[in-house]
Amino acid sequence: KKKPQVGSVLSDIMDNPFYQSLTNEDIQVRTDAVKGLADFAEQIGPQRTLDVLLPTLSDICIDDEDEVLAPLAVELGKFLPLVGGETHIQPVLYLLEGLAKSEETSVCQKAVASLSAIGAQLSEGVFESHFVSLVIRLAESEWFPPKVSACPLFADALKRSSDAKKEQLLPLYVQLCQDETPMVRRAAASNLKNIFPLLHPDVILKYFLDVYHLLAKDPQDSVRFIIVEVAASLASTFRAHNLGEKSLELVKPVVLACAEDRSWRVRYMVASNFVLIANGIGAEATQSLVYVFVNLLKDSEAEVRTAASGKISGVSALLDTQKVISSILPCVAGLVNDDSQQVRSALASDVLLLAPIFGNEGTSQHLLNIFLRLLRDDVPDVRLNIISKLDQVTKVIGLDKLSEHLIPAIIELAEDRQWRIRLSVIRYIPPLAKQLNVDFFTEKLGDLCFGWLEDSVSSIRKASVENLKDLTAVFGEAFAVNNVLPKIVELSKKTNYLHRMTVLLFISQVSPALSEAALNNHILPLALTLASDPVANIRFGAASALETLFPRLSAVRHTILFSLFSFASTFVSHVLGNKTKSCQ
Amino acid sequence: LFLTKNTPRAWIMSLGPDEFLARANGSHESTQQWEFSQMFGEDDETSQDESTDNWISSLSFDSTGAYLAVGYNCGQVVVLYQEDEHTYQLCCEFKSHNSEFDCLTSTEIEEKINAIEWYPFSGKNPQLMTCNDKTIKLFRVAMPNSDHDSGFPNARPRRVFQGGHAFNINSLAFNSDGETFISTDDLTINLWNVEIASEAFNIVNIKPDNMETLQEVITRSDFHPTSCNLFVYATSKGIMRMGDLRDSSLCDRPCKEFSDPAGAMGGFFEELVATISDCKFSPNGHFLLSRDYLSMKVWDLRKVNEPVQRIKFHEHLIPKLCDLYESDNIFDKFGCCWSGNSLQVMSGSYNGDFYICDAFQPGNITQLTLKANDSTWGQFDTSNKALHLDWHPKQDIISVGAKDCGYIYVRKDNVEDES
Repeated sequence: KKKPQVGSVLSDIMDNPFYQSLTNEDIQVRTDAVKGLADFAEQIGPQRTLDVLLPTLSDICIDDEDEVLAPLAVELGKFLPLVGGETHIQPVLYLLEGLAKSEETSVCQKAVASLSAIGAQLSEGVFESHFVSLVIRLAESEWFPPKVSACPLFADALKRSSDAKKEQLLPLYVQLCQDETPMVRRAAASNLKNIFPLLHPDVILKYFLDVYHLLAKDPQDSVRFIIVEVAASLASTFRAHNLGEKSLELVKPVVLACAEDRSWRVRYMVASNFVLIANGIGAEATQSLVYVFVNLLKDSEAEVRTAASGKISGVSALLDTQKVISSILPCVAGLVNDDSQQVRSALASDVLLLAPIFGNEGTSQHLLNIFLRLLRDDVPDVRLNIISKLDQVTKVIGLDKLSEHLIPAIIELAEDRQWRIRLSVIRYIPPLAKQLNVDFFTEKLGDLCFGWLEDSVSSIRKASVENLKDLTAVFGEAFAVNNVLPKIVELSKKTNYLHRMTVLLFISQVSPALSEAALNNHILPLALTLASDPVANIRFGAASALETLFPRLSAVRHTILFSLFSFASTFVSHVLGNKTKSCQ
Repeated sequence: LFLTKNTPRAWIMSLGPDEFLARANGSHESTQQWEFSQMFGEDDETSQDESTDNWISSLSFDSTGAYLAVGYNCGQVVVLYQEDEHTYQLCCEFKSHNSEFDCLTSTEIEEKINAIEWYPFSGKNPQLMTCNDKTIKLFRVAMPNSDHDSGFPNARPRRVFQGGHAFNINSLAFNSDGETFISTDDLTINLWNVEIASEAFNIVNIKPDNMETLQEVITRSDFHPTSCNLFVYATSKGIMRMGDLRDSSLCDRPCKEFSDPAGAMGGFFEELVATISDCKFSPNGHFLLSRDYLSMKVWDLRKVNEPVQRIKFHEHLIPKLCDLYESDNIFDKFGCCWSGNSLQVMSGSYNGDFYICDAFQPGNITQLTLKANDSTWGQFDTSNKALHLDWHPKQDIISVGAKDCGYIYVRKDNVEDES
């Protein structure tokens, strides 16, 4: 973002380079300039903003490209104080209204956000006379883009409207819900969830009952798709007013219809919003809808099963355990063998969250087999998802029962052909380590951790060093000194220079966590050895490492200096020049 | 009460398929009269230029009929605007695509505009989508602001959809939801969101595991005009498959397959002439039109094993099939289209001829010849083929493109016209 240059005495805005760049031929110049508009307006003051700047912006708004208009819309949202307050806000609102009619969605969305921001700061009188009338104009436009923009603004308008004004606005919104173009109906439907909480249930019933049912049967899938969220919002609004029964009466038929819709996308929405719906209608009503959820878990379309699988724990939390065992668990057993790997993957991410619900005995009895089966899945992704959520289970039943299966699973993943999978496994090691004692860990997984240091992929080597750093934090310095360092020393003697580079990486990453004694006794000698390495890169890296070590090694400073100077070749000394200076 | 050209379209659209058929079959319209209205394009008969750069490659009316877009081999697109009832004036012209060099295959990607489709919902600034073999682009035709006098209409690029196709794109179709569209190449169909150029969903893929066993390619596809879930694609085997987006996320299994084994001509050229070069849903959504080399077929969506009508207007080509095969003309891809009231269909031919036929009245065929083709009178001119044509959705105005010229014809029946 270019900061506009404004002198302390502004003689003529026209000559100002920033101002001129607003109308520069090059679109990139204009785009960059527009992003600094608010700052510029602030510096030139309200009078000049109104007299000179806004008319220029008006010309830009008529004809310029979307890349310029979108950031312009953002900046205009900051203009309320910059024009001297709401008495002068009209021209700004006028510009934003024009931008809100654009066919380009990015421009519209920014304009709508800016209008909303300004509207929130207007006093009641100005709000009513300027903002609300603007919203009405947009809603009554003949083209569809302004109508789409009007929908989110209705919530703002209604929030601050008297009941009488609401009576004027709501019929307009109902019309938008029935517009002939699907784009407007979609926008109107999806904003209902912002509008319902603002209204009393009686008002909702008076205006929206018919339209709600019409939208639920809309011929366009993309509109019916949205009605599920609307139903959830309706349910929670009614429950908030203690009208739980009425809420169920309205929501249940729509949810049932959508759960059996011919379009898999609509069923998908029911599955992915099931927890939301359940929260809206309450636990008791949810019990009666369990069969709907179970059907979604068995849906013919994999995408729907995937969405439902991700909500198993959320839904189960609202039911009593017996119901979960009798209705949901049998499905889960089937899903473990689902053909689609996405389904099994989603299941793996979620099913572990059932453990806290079932408790120790329940988990052992009902869930353990499921976890183990998923842990042995063909697809690495599924296994990874289990491993990543293991802490949920170990909190409940402890690690012993799992370790027998867990360790081989981790080892297999850690040696996977795809390095990104190996990388993901490394990331889970430290959290896992927290739950194991150090001896057990070292015995089972130590070799793995050290093996990664020599992986052929550099990202793995880097991650493995970080891993060792984290493990040091978990197990303490003794672990680092007794278990890790010997391996590191071994590594430093390898012929492949990349291994020695890894040692240097280790030094710089792990040293901050070690005590001065450890640094003096173990790290420093290592670094010094590498400082006389035949490979220049290593020597350079060693010097960098020594630089980081230096503040903590006061006693042996001269040893280092001696070491550095002793092998100074012309090139190396050049390069090390900086290092030696800082050492001094 | 039978359906004629004067019957209000809104009423026609409201009829169910059986009622429509009953009323359409009984009508006997008087002979149609179509009048040449205007010509646009390069009119340089003196030019010895052999290049086909200026030849029309696609043509399309928008949903109101007020705009007509024409695409050329050289990548130019011309947009015409309906000034008054029968006159189209130039609105704007722009270069849609440039030729590119594909480094991976070391081939040139032509700038030829393969398909043009207008965004189905008209706004103040209409939008259109164009494509060449590999890239799809969305443009907005910005009309000058009536408050301010400056400026001419111009087309602004809004979005570029690329990287979606390994094979050559042959068609585009917008969904009635105003949000999505499909693009089709020889073997796959992708579903895109108009707002999102960075990803597409592959909904049909007929590529065999072993490319050497390839037997069938997709030639065209179309979305249903009102049902957001139905689309159809036609193949080189002369069949059309209908997909339902509601059924599953991957539509490899069609919900319906339209084929006409009884209509097969037989013989050596059977496979070649059976290839469907174009397919279109009727505006009322109940029927399908397919164009193969020798005929047009009208299908009832409810009946998959044979068409409702086989309109044979190319029988005179049958004895010439050998020559047409030798000259590669047998592979020409003729377009076809419906009239706005779903009662008539149209397709082009050689010699600058084109045919307007009643879709449901067998035998009622009107043949017209493009003006300015009198010089080739007497000869059979296969270079002058009316491949591209479209019908105004609301009026009886048609546009035909052949070589580098576009023609507009208007229907002007006799005043004493019984209904």
